Amino acid sequence: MKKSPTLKTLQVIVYGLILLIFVGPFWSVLVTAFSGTSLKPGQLTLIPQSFTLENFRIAFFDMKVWRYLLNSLIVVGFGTIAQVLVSALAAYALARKKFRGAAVVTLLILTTLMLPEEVIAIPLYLVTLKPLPIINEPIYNHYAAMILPVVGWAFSIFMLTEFMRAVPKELEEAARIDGANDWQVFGHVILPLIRPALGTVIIFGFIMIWDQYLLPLIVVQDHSLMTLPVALASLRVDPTITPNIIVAATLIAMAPSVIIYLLLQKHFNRGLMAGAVKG
Amino acid sequence: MKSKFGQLLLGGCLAVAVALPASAETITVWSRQTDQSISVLKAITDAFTKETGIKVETFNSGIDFEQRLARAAAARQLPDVVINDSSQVGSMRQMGILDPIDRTKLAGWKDVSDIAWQSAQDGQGKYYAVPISAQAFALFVRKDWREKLGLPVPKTWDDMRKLAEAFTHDDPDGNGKADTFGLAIPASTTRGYASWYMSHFLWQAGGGYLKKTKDGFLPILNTPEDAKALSFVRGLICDGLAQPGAVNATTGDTLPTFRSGQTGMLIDGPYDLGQIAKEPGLDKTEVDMLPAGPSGVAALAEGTSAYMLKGTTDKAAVMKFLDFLISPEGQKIGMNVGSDVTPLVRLPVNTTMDVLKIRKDPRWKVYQDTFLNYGHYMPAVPDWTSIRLLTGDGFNAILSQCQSDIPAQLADLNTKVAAELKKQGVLDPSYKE
Amino acid sequence: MTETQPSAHSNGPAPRKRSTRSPALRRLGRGVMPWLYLMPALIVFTWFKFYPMISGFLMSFYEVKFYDPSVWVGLDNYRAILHDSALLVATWHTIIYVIAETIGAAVLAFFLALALEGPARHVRIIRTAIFVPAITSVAIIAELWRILFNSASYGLVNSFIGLFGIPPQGFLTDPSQALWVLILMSIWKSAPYDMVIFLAGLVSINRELYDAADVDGASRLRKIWHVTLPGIVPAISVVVMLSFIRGFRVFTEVYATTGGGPAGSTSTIMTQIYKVGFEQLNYGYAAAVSFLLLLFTVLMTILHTVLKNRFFG
Repeated sequence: MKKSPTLKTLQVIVYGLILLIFVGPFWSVLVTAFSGTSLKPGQLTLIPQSFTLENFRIAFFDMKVWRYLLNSLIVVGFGTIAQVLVSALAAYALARKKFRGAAVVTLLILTTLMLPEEVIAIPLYLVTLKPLPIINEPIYNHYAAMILPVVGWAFSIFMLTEFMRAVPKELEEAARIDGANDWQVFGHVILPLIRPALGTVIIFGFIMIWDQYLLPLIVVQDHSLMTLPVALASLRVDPTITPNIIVAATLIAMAPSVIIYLLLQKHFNRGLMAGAVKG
Repeated sequence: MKSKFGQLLLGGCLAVAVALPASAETITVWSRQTDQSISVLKAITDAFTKETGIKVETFNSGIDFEQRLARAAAARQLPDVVINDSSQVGSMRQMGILDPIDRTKLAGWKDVSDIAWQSAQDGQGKYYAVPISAQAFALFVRKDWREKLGLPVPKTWDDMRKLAEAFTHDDPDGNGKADTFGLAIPASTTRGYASWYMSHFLWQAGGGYLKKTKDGFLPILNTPEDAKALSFVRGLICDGLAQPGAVNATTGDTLPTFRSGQTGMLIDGPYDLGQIAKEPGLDKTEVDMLPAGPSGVAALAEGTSAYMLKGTTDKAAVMKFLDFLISPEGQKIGMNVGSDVTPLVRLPVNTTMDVLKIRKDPRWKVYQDTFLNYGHYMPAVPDWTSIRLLTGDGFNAILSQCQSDIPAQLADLNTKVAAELKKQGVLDPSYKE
Repeated sequence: MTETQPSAHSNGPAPRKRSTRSPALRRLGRGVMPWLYLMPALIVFTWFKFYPMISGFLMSFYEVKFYDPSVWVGLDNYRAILHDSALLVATWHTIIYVIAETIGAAVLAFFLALALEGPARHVRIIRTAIFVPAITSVAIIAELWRILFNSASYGLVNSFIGLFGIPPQGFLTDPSQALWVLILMSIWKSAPYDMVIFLAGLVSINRELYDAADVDGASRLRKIWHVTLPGIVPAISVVVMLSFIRGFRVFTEVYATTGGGPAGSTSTIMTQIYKVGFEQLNYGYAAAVSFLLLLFTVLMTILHTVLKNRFFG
């Protein structure tokens, strides 16, 4: 079917509008961050004025954003890896095994998705003050306090469960006939087959951990351990810091999520598709 | 009553408490301030350590401060001393973390001005904190704008309104665009800012929040005086003389509007002088006393206090530190003269000191005069935060609905405040709806 | 079934040997095995989610005193909910928010999906670009919207509508508009996300149905109505459910833009909980409201699953 010229123009207009609405607002943020002139609150320039990197320099070095960025990267790095591992193991049990109590476990895990986290702020803080078994040390005010609580995330468990359900039973049976044990089926059959799903879960997990605000706020006290979202909130209430610098710091905070999304985005649609199939 | 829940909490926390080393000569101080201004507190604690040998560990935060205290209380992980707004005495008592202080045990207690001590007192005459800094509010005005338009220093509400109109409509910055506004108003419901901001105007009009009687408090929000104050401020907002978004703004939003030349008047404390000196600059601004309302000049008086928390292991060391904070030496370091970092001590509470001798800046005189002659503290009810939030919501509703019936809304608010006072057990029994 | 279990002593595969184990032992192994895989997850969930949840739930029966022992008040906190007019208003706002946001985002996402369907390069690039709002944190988006919808005449949206002769609007400062601006913001953030789910749904539609419709000479609109829409009903169901779960808990979106004002016009259940629990420090009451909200959301999810199973198998 050939498209008429009017239809084509219409299409270009629609594309333009969509981009303007969804991406346009971010343009102003970029421009402000690279602008030397200070703006009035609530005012935006769409055209860059006196281009400068000074805002980024001040934010990155003088405001120690590099340090908070590093903290965030440590938390999100270990957090995402541990989360995906733990979720994959749990999903394997939920997707490929039949056992008593599976429904209860699923419901309990699901419940955590719907809990407003503010309500568990105080109990969670108290838990981090208790010494963990074996190491006999409380994790409060350590990186571990920001990492361990995000390792369990219902969303990634359910998404991986859906993907693992979709792996044909025959492949697993064939492997077992070849003498593979349970662990080998998981490692050599299931995991390689759901590699695209792992990409999706990594993106979601990364963004979720990256945006954590309440948790790092309550389980850490030292300023040297603050993550970027907490540091940003704290910079924002400081009257000595001009808006341009805060905007620059905000852009630095946005960058990693965007980068990880662009790197892994071909997996992204598949992940959401699994959600749709599951319903 | 010892609850199961308390035991549950305790069980987890005792183990932690045991694990902590009990070092006798170290005290922990938490302060509600941002990273940029913590250096002043550090200077005080360094001098204190040098003099007494007692070490001080400090922690500061500009966000989440009261919540962090509440959590620390639940875990029995409280610091020894907290430095926070004087107005927080109610909410800290509500958390159950304050014991009354015997102020006569402090060597320098008599040097602290009576009006400052008022802020640390509950309704019954007990003291729960040591005031270390006082402040009042004054009006920052863009002098260059005002002189360019040939208008006088605002002395009354009328002057203020006329100046706001001129700043909004007569292009005071001469850029040919209608992008300036009369004054910056923080009237958000968040943390009760609307109530906090309206206080100056309520008292200027001759009204207020509560009347202290011998049997408690009576709400007086339904008075014509209060209605006058609200209708004046609402006029400024609804006629477009305040910065856009005033009804959602906090002080974090208003200071930048003045610094960037969006607004020409700002009611602010002396703590932002350093910021305003940097931008727009002291040559372009002046500090005037707040304008007189129908009942004359009035301004909110505030302060910073040091609180000794329950469960401190070394009371003697803490008392020494509190004494140091109100001593001339501690006060002087806290005033941080000769630097634009926000000072911890704004106006000294120690009456043996002369602010002008130390500051050498006549602007501070305006603040001191206002504090001593026209200052009003917020009422000393057990829990002011709840009433501030309640009236903040009520005032915000009036200020953001330009056509609403102010006396009716205030009457409604008055009833709600009475109910809250009753809940706190301090409503005068003679109150009638 | 040839399912076997690894024994703790054996290294590597040794298939023949294992079949000599007693059937009882094997059954036991089969019963324990799933729990071994679940264990790491259950440990972190128990320690960092379930246990704090239960503590929080218990708090709802106390007047929480923080430092001093809390006082047992039984159902008082729950009873107080019935007389809380501020919470009632907030609930009403939340319901309006959830319904408008869900419908708005779903409709917009549906048209986005139709416009941006297909493997063409330029379409793929646009799809990638418009996903940026969905991966940006809510706090940043809130800040952005405060600037865009500034009520000054030079605010970006106000300047834009000024081109069409519309006078400057109050937006977030106008009690009659603020909630709707917030709804618009949430639609903007979630529509790209919903779109991707719809796109996935569109792919799964049997192409033969379209061909059949073409043979019948159906118009484009009729095809959308009779083929596309029924085909993505499962996707719509997901979008609605996710949006409901998110929507009833809406907090940062509101707190960072209006704080619940002006004139309380944007208060939601969660901003109300926050105000009572963390500003007035009435933690027990806040916990009670939170658990009612949780219970409600869980019931809705169960209802959704039941309905879905009944109608779509």
